[in-house]
Amino acid sequence: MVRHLWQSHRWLLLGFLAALTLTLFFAGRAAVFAVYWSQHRDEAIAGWMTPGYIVHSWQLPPEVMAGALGLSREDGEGRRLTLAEIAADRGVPVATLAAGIEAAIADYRAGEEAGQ
Amino acid sequence: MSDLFFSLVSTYGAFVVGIATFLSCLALPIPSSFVMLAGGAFVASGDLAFFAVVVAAFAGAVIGDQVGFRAGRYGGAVMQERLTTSPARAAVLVRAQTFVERWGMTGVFLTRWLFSPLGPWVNFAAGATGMGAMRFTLSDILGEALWVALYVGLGYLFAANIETLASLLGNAVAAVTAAAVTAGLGVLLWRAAKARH
Repeated sequence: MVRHLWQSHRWLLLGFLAALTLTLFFAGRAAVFAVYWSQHRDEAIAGWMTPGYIVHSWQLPPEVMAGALGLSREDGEGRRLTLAEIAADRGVPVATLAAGIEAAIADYRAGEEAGQ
Repeated sequence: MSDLFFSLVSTYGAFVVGIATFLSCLALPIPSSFVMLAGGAFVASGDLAFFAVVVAAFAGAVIGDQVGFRAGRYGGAVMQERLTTSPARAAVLVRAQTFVERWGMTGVFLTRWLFSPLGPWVNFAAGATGMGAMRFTLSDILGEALWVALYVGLGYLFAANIETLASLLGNAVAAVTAAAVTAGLGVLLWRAAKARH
């Protein structure tokens, strides 16, 4: 039967096989990301994030974030800024800013654990 | 690449979400689902207003679909003139129109949110085969509302993990869409095989 189809409907058969291959390929990739997600809960700090986003995602008190960036509460008002914009304003690389925030988060979490 | 779109959303806000859904409904390769997830996440973090993100995403999508549908109408009129010159081709056109008559609304609805990579092509095909504007618009609005609610909602709920969620959803949607195409081609193959006997 396959040989008949190959002779009479070659493009249809090839299209079917290509679509089947793509289905398996994307299903495999989706599975890989599902497994990855179950094992990596914390995202790495990146330039597109806003301080508010980090506070929300890492479940921090806003003061921890304000302290890490050297901002007062009032600076949180007004237009949102991304880490990339804050870094550019200060003339430092995003990585430096991110390292400072990650250190502050680690400090805060260590303090939380010690306090319990 | 997702980083670039996430930072466009955090810098320029809901406006970017609307532009992204609009362009992606015209088959431009814009990862609008990433953008909507980011919109939802920035609502959760208090950086963007929920109403603005949802309205922008929905309006962009519906307007984009209408543009595609109208383009199909226009292109379809030109195409029909040529097709109807030969009886064999005219028969193909009639079959396509019957198919759209029967499955059009379901197809439009499902290609908004579930098989979304097919959406722009379905807009054009629906216009070209003469699907009624009211039927198209009704199923389009329902489907896009679900699409926007799903992605903005998931971005809001899983704000802390939108990068991984975006990759997971992108691949899952591609897999489901490819599976639907596989099934469709499978049915055609099956019929071709049976027709021989």
